Order: sequence, then structure tokens, then C-alpha cells
Amino acid sequence: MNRRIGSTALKRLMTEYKELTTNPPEGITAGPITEDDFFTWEALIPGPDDTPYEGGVFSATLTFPKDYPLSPPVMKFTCPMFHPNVYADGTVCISILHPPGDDPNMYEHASERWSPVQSVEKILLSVVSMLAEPNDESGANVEASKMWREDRKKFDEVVRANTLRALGL
Amino acid sequence: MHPSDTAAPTAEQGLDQQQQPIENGADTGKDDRPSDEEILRYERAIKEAETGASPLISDILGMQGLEKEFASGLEIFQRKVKHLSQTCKGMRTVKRDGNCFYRALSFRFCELLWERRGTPWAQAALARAASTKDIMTEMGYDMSLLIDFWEPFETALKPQEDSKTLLEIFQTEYVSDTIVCYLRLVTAAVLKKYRDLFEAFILDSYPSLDAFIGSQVEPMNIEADQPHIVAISNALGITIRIANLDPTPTDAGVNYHELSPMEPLEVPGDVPEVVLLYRPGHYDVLYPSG
Repeated sequence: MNRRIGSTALKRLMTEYKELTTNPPEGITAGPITEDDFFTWEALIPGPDDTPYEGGVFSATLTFPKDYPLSPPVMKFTCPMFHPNVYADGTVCISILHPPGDDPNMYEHASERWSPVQSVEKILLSVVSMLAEPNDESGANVEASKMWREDRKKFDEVVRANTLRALGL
Repeated sequence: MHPSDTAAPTAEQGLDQQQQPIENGADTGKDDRPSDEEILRYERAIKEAETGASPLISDILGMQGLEKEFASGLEIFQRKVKHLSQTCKGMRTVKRDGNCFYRALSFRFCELLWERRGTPWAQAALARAASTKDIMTEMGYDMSLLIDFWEPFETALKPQEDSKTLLEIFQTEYVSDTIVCYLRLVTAAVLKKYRDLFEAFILDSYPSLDAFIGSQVEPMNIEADQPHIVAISNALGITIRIANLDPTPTDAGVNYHELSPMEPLEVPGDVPEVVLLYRPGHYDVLYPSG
């Protein structure tokens, strides 16, 4: 039975990769880093317009568990990312990436959770929304949450500086 | 979900956040606060300690365990438990992980199909179970992506070599969880199909039926409630009878809630039903005598 775990995940990831390549959501690219390992992906996410992330392209890895899509992947930015819902190590903390049993941040009871009807595409679109609209209730980065709430001007400056750094400027 | 599972750690988490000194500088990269992963590991360890090494679904047990559980409880509970002991020959305990309703229902349903293999009821029930794929497709679920979730259920529905093999299927975590997940998706599809009927019960507490489905039905580890049970009873065409172990006084020994499908299977002869035991936040399988 164990063999089935990986094979279901692999089949699903290949289907999702094909779909993302044929029909990519605007500005987003994502896929396995190497064709030998479908369980580790890289994604490039554009900073949304009218936000301090605008103009940036942010890289992240997605690490899929063997029982995907029963369990969600872990998403981690691999570039500097100052955001209330991203840990210092780059790990993204939004409700769609957590199964409901695991609830460190008291998400609203009606917020969308991971289930096998979700997809990599929905995760990436949620992350773009997260960049545009941080959720300061679930502060993965306490400092960023506080600054976002209390000193928006400074927050924007820090983020803009990071955005330029991510572009190598 | 059992409220006690999450309430305490979440409250502590809130305190931790307030007490955490705020560092200066944009990306010092230091954070003394426990990470999500650490909190989750801690929560899992607590849950694991609570549920112990209990199997996803147990062998058939006598009613002594239940009597013991309520031995120091309110008198009304003890009376109801005694009544259950006198009227039931046994029960199976199901792991308390928020998936217990779906696991209990799917196991007992498959076990009934095994017990009554070859009967007109079994044939009709099997055909109805297979038709759940069509409801999913009709409601916009991509069955080409989800067929791997149907297949383990299909295997469990068909007669196994012996009844022990069926139990092994449901005790194998990945396979068992996949079956639970399939039933969740079927439940979601039925809620969508009869949207007008179910919205009346849901819109008091949720902004939309889809929000309810995305947060309370499709994700794993979220306990089933009345609408979920009505929906899946309809999908499978099976009557679900639930012994309600609550402190409400009754002359009936124990109150049973009976949920019958709107379109029952049309077969001659007697039709079996799934009987479950409910205590707040938890379902087990019940085997009434006779």
C-alpha cells in the first residue's frame, strides 16, 4: 500500500505541472527544480501592483509530502521577505497551507483550509493575495505585523528596500 | 474537533506573542518565539498522548470500556450506558481525530456489504456508492484528479477474502484517510447539489455555503455535524441511526436520532442500517443486539 502513497502524489504533481505550464496564472511560474524530483518545486511570484512589493519577483520553494494532496506542501521564500505572515526563515504561514487540526494562529473558523481539491495554483494565488493584504491577526513575523499596523510608512520602506535587493539592485 | 484540543495552546500562543520583545531592524533573522512547526509538533505530541496508540478503528469490544469511561460520571449518563450495555452486543472505538464520523460510517457500511454480500441490497448499495462519482463530476469536481481517492473506497466496498482484511484496510492510515477524504468530498458535492435545502441551516453561521464547505467539510480533521450526516446518508442511500449519549432526561433508555435518505434504495426484504454512538465531539460504531 505504501507504494501507492508516492505514486498518487507523483501523478497529481505531474498533472498540476502540465496545467500550470499550459495555463499559467498571470506572472507566476512554478515547477520542479529538476525533472528527477517532482516533490521539490521552485516558484517565482510577482509583487502585486500598488503594494511595496510591486516590481519585485520573489522566489520560493514548495516541498511536497509523500501523501500529497492529502497533506499540503510547505512553502518557503528563498529571498528576503519581510511580511507579517512569513517567518524569518521564509516559511509562509497562511490558512490554505494548514490542515485544520494544525492551528497555531487562530484562523477565522470560516477561512479556507487545505484539502485535496486545492492546488499549487490556488496556493500561489493565495500568496499573491497575502502580499497585497497581510493578515496581522496571524503574525508569523511579529515585528513586521507590528510595523505594518503602527508605522505603515516605515514598513513600506523596508519592503521596498528588500524588493530591490531581491532583484539584485 | 474537540474544543479542548485547540483552545488551550492557542490561548498560550496569544500570550507568547504579547510577551515577545520586539526587535529592531528589518531582517535580524532572529526570533525566540516558537515557530509554527514547533507549536504544531507540541500539539501533535499532546494529541498523540491523549489518543495513545489507539488504532484508527478497533476490533469489536464489549461495552465494559464505555461503562468504565462513565463510572464516575453523572447518574443520567450511567443509566444510559447501562441501557446501551443491555441492548448492544458490542462496539468499535474510532480514533478521536476529527475524522471519526466518516471513518465509523465508511467502515460499518463496507462491513454491512461484506456481511450481506450477494444480496439484492448489497448490489443496490454498491451501485449507489459508485454513483457518488457522478454527483462529484456533476458538481464540478475533477474526477480525473480525484479518482485515486475513489479507488481505495471501491476496494473496501467489494467483498474481501475475510472480514479481517477489511479491518486492515481501515487501520492502514494512508488508505483509511483517503477513504475519509473521499466521503468528505462526496458530502461536499451533495451539499452543493441541494444548495437551497442546506443553505437554510448554514447561512446563520457562515457567510456562504461554499465557505462552509471549504472550511468545515472538505478539510480533514473537522468533525461532522447534522448537515454533513444528512448529506452523506442521502449519497449512500443508507439510514444512519445514532445513539445520543447526552445528559438529557429520557424515558426511552437512550434517544436515537434516525437520519433516513430522501431516496432510499428500492430493494425487497429488510434493509440494514448503520448504527453509531455519539458523545459530544465523537462517534463510535455500535452493534445493537438482535
